[in-house]
Amino acid sequence: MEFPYAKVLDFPKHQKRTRILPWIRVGIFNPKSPLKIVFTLGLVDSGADISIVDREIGKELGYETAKGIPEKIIGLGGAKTYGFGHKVGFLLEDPDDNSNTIKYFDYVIFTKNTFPSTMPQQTAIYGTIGFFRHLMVTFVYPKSIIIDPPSS
Amino acid sequence: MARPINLSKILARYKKGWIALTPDNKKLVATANSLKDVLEKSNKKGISNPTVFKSAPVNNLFAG
Repeated sequence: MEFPYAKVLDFPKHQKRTRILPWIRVGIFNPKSPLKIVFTLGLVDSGADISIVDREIGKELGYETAKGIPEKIIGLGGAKTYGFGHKVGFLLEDPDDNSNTIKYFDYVIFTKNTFPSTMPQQTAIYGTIGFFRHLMVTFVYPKSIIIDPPSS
Repeated sequence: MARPINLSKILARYKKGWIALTPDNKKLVATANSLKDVLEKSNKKGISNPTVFKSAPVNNLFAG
């Protein structure tokens, strides 16, 4: 499966700058109701130990998020994010053929609060637990991100 | 060759809240303050499986 990067602009010192970000469409669902899937546009981050997802998504999928396993995530500079671990289902659809899918189950942290407001990703961060340990991921910057199941 | 999803105009226009795109990420479907509302708006427009994300301050660089 070949996923495109996302392109954004910012204006440091009033100069236009294009940035290419590894944000891709990833579906997540509650194994208790697998037909309801929220397709997120999340950051694929090989530096993250675990996947972190906004609490509203957990609520929408029917989780009582605060009943999960409490976790504390430390970011750069020591910033702390609190959340709760839950088992979820993941669904990746091939952008060129959405009948070709990858589906698996793993843990994510649903945030206790919203992501810190200054973070340039506010929806989901997909890290080792929840993403990379299930997939072969090749970053072909800036062209695409190639994702396949480990056995292929 | 996959072309990047261009979010420049959308993120410039919508600084807060949830954004829904078509499943191919090419077109804006709806915006709302909550995920529930943006999904409802998308569904009313006939898109039951949009891509959703929260607007983010992309002028900040990220390392993590």
